[in-house]
Amino acid sequence: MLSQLRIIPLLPLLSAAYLILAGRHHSRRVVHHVACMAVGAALLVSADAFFFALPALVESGGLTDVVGTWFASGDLRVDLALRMDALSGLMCLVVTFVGALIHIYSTGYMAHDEDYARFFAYLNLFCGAMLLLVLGDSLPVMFIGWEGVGLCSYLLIGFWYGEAANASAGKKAFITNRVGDLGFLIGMFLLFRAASTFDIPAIVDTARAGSATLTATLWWGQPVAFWAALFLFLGAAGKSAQIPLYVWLPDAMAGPTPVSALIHAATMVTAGVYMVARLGALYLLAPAALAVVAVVGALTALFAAVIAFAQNDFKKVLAYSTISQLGFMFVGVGTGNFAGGIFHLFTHAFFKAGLFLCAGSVMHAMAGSGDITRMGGLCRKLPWTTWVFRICWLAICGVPVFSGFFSKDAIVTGAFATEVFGPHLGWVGPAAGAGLLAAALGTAFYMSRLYFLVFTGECRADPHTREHLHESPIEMVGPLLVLGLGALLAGVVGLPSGWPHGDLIGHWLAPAVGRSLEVSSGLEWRVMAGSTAIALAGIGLARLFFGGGAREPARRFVAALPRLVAVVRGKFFVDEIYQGLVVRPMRGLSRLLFLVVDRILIDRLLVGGWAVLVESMGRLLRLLQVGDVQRYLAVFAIGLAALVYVMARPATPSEVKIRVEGRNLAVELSDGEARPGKLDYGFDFDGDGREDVLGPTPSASWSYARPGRYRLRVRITDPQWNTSRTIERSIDIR
Amino acid sequence: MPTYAYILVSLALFFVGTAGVFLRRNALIVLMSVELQLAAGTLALLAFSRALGDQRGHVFAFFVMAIAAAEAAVGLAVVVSVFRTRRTTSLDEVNDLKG
Repeated sequence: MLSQLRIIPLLPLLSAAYLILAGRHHSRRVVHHVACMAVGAALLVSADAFFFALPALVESGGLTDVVGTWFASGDLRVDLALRMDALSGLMCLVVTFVGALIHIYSTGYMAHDEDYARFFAYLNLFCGAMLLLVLGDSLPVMFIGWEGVGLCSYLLIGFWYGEAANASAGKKAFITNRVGDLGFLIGMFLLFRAASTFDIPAIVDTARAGSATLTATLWWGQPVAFWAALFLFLGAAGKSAQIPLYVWLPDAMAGPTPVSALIHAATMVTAGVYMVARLGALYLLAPAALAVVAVVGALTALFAAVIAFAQNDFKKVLAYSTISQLGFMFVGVGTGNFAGGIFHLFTHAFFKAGLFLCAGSVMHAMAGSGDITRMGGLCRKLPWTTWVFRICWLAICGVPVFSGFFSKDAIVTGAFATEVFGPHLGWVGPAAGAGLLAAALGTAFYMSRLYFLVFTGECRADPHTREHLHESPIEMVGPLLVLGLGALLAGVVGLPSGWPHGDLIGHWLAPAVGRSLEVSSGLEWRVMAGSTAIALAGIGLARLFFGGGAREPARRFVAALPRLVAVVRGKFFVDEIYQGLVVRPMRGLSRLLFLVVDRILIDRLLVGGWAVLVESMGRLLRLLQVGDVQRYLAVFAIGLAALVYVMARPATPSEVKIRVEGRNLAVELSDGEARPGKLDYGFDFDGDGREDVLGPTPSASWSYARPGRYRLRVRITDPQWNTSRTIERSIDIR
Repeated sequence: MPTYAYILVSLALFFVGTAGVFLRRNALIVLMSVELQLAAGTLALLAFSRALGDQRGHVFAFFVMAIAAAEAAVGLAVVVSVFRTRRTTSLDEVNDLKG
């Protein structure tokens, strides 16, 4: 029974429904018990499926659960089907595990919030949608989850909607994601057109077979696979905050911190990476699309790392760090090193969630403020938080032994060693790898800056805040410790392949995403040594600048290059550029459409026009309603007279046929209207006034004695009403 | 007297009645004009009945008279009622249904 996958997303979804409908009637205790237990149970069910049912089936495609046919039309049939294979099982575990921890953490973090039930309802809804995204066996099912997590992201970013900035951050996230979603949809439809199916395993099989339907040229000399992959990557870039659609993620920090940890660091934003890995076979068919993924990933990693140098908000730094780390993951999957990308996703889920939860813990202590220029010396007041932060910090910097070290190296070595690009695009791999090394230096620098500014030196907070500094309660520290442990140890699943128990994750994922890259151990050691040196250099540099608070070199640097610092602090003004290039013109267009189309065309002409028409007709007809009984009577009398006339009027022959044969004349009338009762026809052929032929037949003939012009007159009589009408014709007889 | 003479009288009566109904403003006069129209119809019925030797026309005439009496009663009641509420019987002033 536990192998029924549908239970996994259903539990949090049901809990969400219950909490939305009935949550506010329950105490906080009941609310968080329901919410945490739903996710906890989902974790247990997925762990049961993952560890006990899945290993036997992993080579043959994993567990499946078909709930039913969702819709069918012609050849198209989409099942509401779930599948847990090596990849989705791992994701499922990450989502439920981190999700459960963050639910527990939230019970402490949100303890004093008014909207307790609503928060947990949304959080549950998110978990359900994310699990649907992960487990969905076809692109449409995945898309429900994809949209569902987008919705929850919107709802939770704007959770404190009382402040306009939060609400508009939610809208920004949602709208930016819609741009990506359009790409997802287009990619999905392109794939359907080529492969005639939405089922992910079928698409992957088609791609692995190198089917001609996918390699056929579509536009600009590129195959279908390239365009589908590119559009899908646009979707991934929206969801996973990559250039050019990354702008929403920093603003998304307006939401509660557990949300930032769960949605905007550990799970939802990795959905794009997951999707690319899931459809890896398709990307391998189109090296150019892979190159786009890798290049965008490397650029994003570098760009976001640079922006993070100068941010002064705790969560903003972490947000840019997340964007940067997602860039790492995209380089991983973009160099065909899918296991490497997923490995980094896995370790990142631990250390980034840990970092965010530390941020939450710190902000909890600082009365909600996240300004790192006002912090400092917190290691003494928040010992547990500091220790977890240290572990996660060293992990993200890539210091050896910590988890991030192994996963980052797996990606960088993969980038240098990859051969998926072929001869023309061969430069992409090494270039992306070099970019990542530079980004790693940046990562080590900005993360260490964050650490030194927040936890070391003297406290720069105002005295009132300083007095209230306190370590967070156990329900917050507990999850922190678990995540810290994960950040420390998660690397063991992906040790380099030459080592004992090396590359466990690569072997595990092989049935789902293909074999790991073969990397020479020489390259491996070189990259390890290089990246360790880079991490230590970054940390050292940051210590020189910021150890114990901003120091002399940092001040001198800012004084020497004020312009550069301002540009970086202003995030390269990308938001302003988008504002000018996209938002303003769009607003102008909307305003134009509103004023011209909506106000004038629709409101004034179409809606108002009909109203005016009807009203004026009514005004006209009102004139008849004089209210004077005598006029009504007059109209009645006229109508009655007309009616009598119509009833009593004899039929008009519709046709009068006259045939002349020598001296003989034949006349035939056909009845215009069928009506009951006979008519009498009188024919006067010679025009003498007497009717020569009289009777009920509508035809007669006459033989003329001599030629000449005659007047024919036919009288039609209705004997019932004694009314008649006459038809006259003149004829020439020769 | 030939039938057409009766019919001519009937026609004249009817038109006088119709003109009264349409043109007079006093509700009582209008009701009286309606009586004239009914009388015209009755006269035509009797004339045709006698001309055709068919007694049904006579029977009809009695029905018309009975109904005319009932109509007059109801009509007068309405007029009295209208007069009570608005102190007038002029149809020009009874136009509440004006749109």
